[in-house]
Amino acid sequence: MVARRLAQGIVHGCIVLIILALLLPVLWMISTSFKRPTDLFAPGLGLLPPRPVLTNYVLAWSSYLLPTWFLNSLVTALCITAGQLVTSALAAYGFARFPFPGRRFCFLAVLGAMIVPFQVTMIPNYILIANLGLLNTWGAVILPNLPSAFGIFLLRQFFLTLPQELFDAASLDGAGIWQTFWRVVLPLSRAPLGALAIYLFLGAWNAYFWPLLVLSQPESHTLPIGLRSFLDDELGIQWGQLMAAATLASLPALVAYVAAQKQIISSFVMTGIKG
Amino acid sequence: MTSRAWCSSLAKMAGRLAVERRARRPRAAELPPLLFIGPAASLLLVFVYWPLIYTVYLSVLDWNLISPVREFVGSANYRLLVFEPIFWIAVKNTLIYLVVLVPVELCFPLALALLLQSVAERRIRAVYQALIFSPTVLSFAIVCIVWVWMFNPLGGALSRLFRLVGLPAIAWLNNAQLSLWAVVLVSAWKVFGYNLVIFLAALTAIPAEYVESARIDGASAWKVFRWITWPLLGPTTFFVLVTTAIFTGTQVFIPIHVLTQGGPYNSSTHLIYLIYQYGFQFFQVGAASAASVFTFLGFLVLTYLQLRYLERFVHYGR
Amino acid sequence: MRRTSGFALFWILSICVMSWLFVLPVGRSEAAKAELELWHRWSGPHQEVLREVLKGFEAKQPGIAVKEVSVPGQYVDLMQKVLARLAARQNPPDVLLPGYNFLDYTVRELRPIPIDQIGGTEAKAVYARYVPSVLRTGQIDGKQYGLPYALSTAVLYYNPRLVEAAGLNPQTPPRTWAEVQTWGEAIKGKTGKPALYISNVDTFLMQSLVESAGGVMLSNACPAFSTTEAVAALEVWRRYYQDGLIPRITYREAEQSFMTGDLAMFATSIMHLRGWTQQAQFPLRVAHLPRFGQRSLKVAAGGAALMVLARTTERQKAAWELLKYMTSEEGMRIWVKTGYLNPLQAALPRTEGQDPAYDQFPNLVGWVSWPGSRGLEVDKRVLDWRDKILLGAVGAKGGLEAAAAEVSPLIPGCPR
Repeated sequence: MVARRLAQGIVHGCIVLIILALLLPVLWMISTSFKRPTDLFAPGLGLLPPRPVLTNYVLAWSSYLLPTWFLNSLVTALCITAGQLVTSALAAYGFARFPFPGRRFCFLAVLGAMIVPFQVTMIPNYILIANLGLLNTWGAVILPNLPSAFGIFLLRQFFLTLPQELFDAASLDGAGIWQTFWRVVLPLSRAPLGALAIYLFLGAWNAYFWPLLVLSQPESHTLPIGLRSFLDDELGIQWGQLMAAATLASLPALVAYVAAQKQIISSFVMTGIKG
Repeated sequence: MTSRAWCSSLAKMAGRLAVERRARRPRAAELPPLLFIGPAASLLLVFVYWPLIYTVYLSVLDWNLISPVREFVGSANYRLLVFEPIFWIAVKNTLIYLVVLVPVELCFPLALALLLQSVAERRIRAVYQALIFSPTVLSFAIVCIVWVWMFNPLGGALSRLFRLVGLPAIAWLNNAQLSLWAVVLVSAWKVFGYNLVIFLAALTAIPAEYVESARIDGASAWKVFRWITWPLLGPTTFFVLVTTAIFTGTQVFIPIHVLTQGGPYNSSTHLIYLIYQYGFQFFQVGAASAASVFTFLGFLVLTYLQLRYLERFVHYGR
Repeated sequence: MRRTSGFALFWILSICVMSWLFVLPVGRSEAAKAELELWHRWSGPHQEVLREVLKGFEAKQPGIAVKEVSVPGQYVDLMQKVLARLAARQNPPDVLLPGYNFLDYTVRELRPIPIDQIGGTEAKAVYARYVPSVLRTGQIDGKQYGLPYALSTAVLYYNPRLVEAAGLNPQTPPRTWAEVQTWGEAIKGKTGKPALYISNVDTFLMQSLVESAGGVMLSNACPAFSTTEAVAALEVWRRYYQDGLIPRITYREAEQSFMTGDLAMFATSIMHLRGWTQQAQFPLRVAHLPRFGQRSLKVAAGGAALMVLARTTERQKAAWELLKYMTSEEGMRIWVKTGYLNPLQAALPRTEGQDPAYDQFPNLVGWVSWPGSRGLEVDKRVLDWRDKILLGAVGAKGGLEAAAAEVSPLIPGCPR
């Protein structure tokens, strides 16, 4: 019995240690954000701020363009998520329900698009966006990200599981193709759509590479790009302020996570296992 | 080139619609799928497939993105890359990232998931899982900025911990031997939670009766894992493998860009980072496109190998 | 028809939404009508001073609004952003402050308007304001493309407290690199703190060291930095790393260490004087850049020149007014508060600590600017090889020879 307890204790101990290691950067970020500049390099373990202050947060909010960056990130992430959901749901329905000639080929093409890494197509996309005059606008970030091959794939898998009787019943009631989609299929798809929405939103919110290329003006930056530009600051990096800004930037994700972690985790699992 | 691209894709769509209308026989079955698939398909065409072709076109040019003059140089860009030592360093590093991260991110999350499963209390397990998964929802770039501070040899967390146990503080990011491993460490840290959660979900899905009946028959924990758990995890393992491999191909750009910028002297660079450097730091579009073509071919080979050889695992469990 | 009408509606709606996205701008980079755009690399205190200068200008010329855009980082980052803007088919910024180390590249790729063309008859008078040797730094092939604005040289900053703690006299800083070695060993031995850091963010210090040792970077516009003298200079630098006098950390980390009093000596540009005086946790001292034995000192002239890229005559005229003000006594009086040196002949107040930098005026040499359209790439490759030498991956002779061989083919007219 004692051996059992001991074993359990060791298991918990190991897990807690690993969790601490995993969370160390987050804890360190928060701890630094409350430190005074002179305490940043003070000797000792320094895991907790010896004399905590709030000035870093005040400075971060006022001297970095955080509010603008928040807005940019929010708008682009929302538009991308909405666009991806809409186009993917439509396309997935088309692939699942209509046996048109060349369907198999088209679907393979969609799968092919999934494995093409963004960096391989970035230069022509950049040229296209530049020629459209969209650089440094929301459109530059949103437009190339409107389609989601992954979303099409996932939703098609789901639509394929819907029983034929459902559609037979709907057409008996006189529902057309669009009615069936809008009134019958979509309401049933709340779960995968919700999961996909969360997954896509997080991906869009945290996007880095493409916004880095197309957003060069500080006012148009999204959160990750804006913060990264402060690593090049001339005066030397103000770590306290930068960590405060990083904490503020991570706050929405963290708050949403604390509130809805079950849904978020299950959305990732669902999009993974089904995929 | 751009207005031509738009016109051509619009023309393609118009052409398809025209074909539909001409076939007056209301093959009404053909119009709706077109309208459903149309938006996504045309977007994918414009932003994924056309750029692929255009990249190949750019790779035979000598162009700096700015001047109206674009010189055709044939295979000069490809030859330039093949004889460029930095290109091969990037290839080597890309393979290192792949070969190190994939097994590590398979074994350790799986091990911890198994450990986590043995925790009896469901609520504590949920709390642990939630905590472990949290790095996944954070922005990778923002977190890398925190890591730059963590790696700081004077005031960063890692140096302080090292000093606590008596080790000298290491300057990770300016050390040619260690910079690549710093990137590996940060990447491993980021992916860990996601892989663990996937494995945990899959483990929970394994019917308990299998394990119990094996136990009753006297099988040891290892035997249970080897003959029941592992085969049933086949599809999941395959999925984790593929997603981690894709991660090392694409997402690794972020820690490289934030932490080391490929340095010192290209010791932590990557094919994707090289494309970015050639394209947007040196403005040599031809070389960047040639590198893109090489990278894409590499990806294709990798995907093919995965599908061909690893799919066995997927069927093993059946 | 019901099935298709719902559809058509959806399609029309989505096209509308998508076209709305096309038009929605944020931070449109097309400048307003009468507003000039000035791009530079400064952030922090330098940017504040620049804004003060621009305020002075707008007081004198209320009809011309100037928007300054900061691209934080090194001069190479500024170049890349401007190129990206041109690649985006957008108008270049009206006025640019590129570094002297990319002068050739800027003139070749960005095609600024020659000053004679913009200033017309007034140009000569503006040239007369300058110290003649400084004016030359803005010329390519004898033609004036930029008006020198920010001017700096390399100096040796040091922390008198750490120096004293090592038993040395802070009033007599080292005059030669050999003395730096002695000081370094004493500091490292007695205090245990890292002794030295030499700026490695660009070729600024590399050139100063190479030329002070009797070598050159370019000869007849081709790489010539693998001569015995250049090798000797890099050897000295590399030895500091090998002996542990220079810690193996990045520039940012070294700067942080210096500010907190954990690094004793720092050889870098005088441009940091103002910011560092504010931030340092000790009284900052400045000394001349050390020589090699009895050889005369040569220091690269760092900084940036004002160039006009505006394409319309109207904007060029407005830009000329701005240039005239910024290079006038009044404008420069404000600007030298940053710690940058005064390029004009007129006497202007010096910031505390600038004397060693001014003393080095006779020793100024033009900052090497890599010729050709692949200048950006050449710069990075040379720096990468230098880092390989310093971090011990390759010897100084082998490294410099390899670097010269690698970049020669990238410079037009040099042996392949």
